[in-house]
Amino acid sequence: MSDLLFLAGGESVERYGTVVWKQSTAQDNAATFTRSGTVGTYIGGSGYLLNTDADIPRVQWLDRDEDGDTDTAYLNLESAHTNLVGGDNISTEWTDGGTSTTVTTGVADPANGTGAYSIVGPATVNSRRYQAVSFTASNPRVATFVVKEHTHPSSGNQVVGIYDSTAAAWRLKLDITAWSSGKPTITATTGTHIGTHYVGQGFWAVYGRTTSVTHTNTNRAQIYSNEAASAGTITVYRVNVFDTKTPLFSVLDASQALNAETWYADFVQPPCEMTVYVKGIEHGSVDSGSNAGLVHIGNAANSGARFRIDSTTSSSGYRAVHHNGTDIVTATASGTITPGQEYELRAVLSADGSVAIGQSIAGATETVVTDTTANAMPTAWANPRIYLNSRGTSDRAVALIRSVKVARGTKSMREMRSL
Amino acid sequence: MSYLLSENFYNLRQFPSHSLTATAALSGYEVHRVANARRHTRNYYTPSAVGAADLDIACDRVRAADMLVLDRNSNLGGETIRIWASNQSNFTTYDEFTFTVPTTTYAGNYASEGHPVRTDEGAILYRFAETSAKYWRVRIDAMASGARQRVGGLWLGKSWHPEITVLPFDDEGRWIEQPTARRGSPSGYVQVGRQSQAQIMLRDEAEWSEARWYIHQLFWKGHTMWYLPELEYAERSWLAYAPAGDYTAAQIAGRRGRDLTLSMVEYQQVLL
Repeated sequence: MSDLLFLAGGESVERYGTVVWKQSTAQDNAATFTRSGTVGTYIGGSGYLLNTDADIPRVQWLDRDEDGDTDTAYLNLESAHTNLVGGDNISTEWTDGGTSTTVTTGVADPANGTGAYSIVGPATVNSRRYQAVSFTASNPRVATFVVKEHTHPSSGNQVVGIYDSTAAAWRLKLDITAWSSGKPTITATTGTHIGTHYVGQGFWAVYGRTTSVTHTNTNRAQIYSNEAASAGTITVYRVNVFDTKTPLFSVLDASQALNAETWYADFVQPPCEMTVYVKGIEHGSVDSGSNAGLVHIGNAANSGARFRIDSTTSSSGYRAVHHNGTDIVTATASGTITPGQEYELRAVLSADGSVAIGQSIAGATETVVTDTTANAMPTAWANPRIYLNSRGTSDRAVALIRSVKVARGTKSMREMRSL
Repeated sequence: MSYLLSENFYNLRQFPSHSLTATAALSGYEVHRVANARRHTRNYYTPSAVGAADLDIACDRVRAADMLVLDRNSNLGGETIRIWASNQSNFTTYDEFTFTVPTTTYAGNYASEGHPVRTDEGAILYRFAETSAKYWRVRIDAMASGARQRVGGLWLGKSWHPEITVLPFDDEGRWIEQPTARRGSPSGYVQVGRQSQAQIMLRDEAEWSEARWYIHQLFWKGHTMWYLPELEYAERSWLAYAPAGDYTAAQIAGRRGRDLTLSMVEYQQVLL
């Protein structure tokens, strides 16, 4: 008999058709999901960008192997974000940088409409368009540029980024040095390139994190059709800028706000020796320097007896945490997960209450960190629930979850993968 | 590879919490007839007026699907069918899969994604790129002037395709019943239908856990199941039910997985 106690995520969708596994009609229970408001985009199986009603979880169908088929499901859970970009119309709401760029409107977009724009740059240095954005704190901030190849200049780069016009300094400069089979090749000249994901119909979302901005200065989101004096054209669908350290995976319209998402399911297994496995795509949560829950067994208040996988403002990686209501033990994974990489985590709660965490990045050999400090097993969790992408109902991040599995006993990575 | 479709979002006995609605129907031909387990030529849904017809399902949660089957007692040859999958109740944005209902049956018709196949008995089988949604719509575009759509049977759900089916297996088994002639009694008619016993080697407990849903909970509870023996010969697909008997999936000594024996008999094989 299998030792699998719980399975959720994109893998469950592909195996059982639902976000949470079931093997019988009686087991066909919905998880509880809340997100107020009607903003929430996802990539559907047909490859288009779609939207959701309130309180409906989003399954992103991604093209991970870049063969043109959006055929791999991920459960996407995100924290509250508001797009600081106030206008999507590149033609009328974005400003030409004094280089006489023109804009083609009515371009086919990834949402099966014609809401994209092509910025046509002349053979003039730094041909660009920009729009001002206002930050509220002087910290690293994030941006997303949804772009598509049109005509790369014969020399020089195309650029997307955040520019401080007061200080005349880039805070995020991502050079598109080339396009390879329609995918932009990115070099981060300033700031960090968090990742690039295909969003359908030839469009790619390019994610970046700035260096620390000076929020009292004038900052701009900028797009260069060509940086050198060589004509180029770039197609743009949306630009998102956020006053946070982790960007959304999903895409918002101008000034839109995505409200926080809460997801939990019943977890009736009492505290015991068990293994929690998570497979997902890192999207910048672990290196954002914020508290972020990934899997949390316990109550909404993140108090009392609980077991979880999370990262914190001071942790160097994901942690396995066992709090029995009185004492806490942790083990922190070693090795850096680069945003955009697929990771697998294996958190073990041993019979004596000690913990260990194993981590495999992009399928590489697992590295394991163990904390052998015993911590008496509680008789019950603070609440028999399992939360994803949060610590209780707090400390949310941005998660793309391929699979969350909980198994009885201590299991190896290989065993967890095969369940 | 074999594909099995036992799930049907339109079947309210499988999914009692689903909500089924449609373009206003002619009295006596309501939309619930598309999934009432009857294949009679007079059992179908038809709208009360000419125009596009929508058959909508509001699921109780987000569900994935990848296959649609339209039964033989429909009149949609040559018509355009659209499958919409949306997470908005008003279908403002949606995945769309569109096909034209074929009117000809071909040998060796490979059921690739997006390619509809007409079976030997006139059912239409259509696989599409898997997606997930809470709201599903099957829209049949308006037909030629004066004609209204007739949707005899409709299946929409997620198929199951086990990895290993032991060879040799016969996807074309037949059963024949001959009445015994009696003095003074009128002679009966010969009944013939398809049957199959597929031996499936489940790789491991993970594959068995999937089988528990698609087979244990659906097929072995009396629901019908479309049996596509081989993708390359999808025209041979037929609708099966589980005949009376005992069913097990025993663990086999010496290997990880179980052996699952699927006994299938053709359901209402004669078109009446």
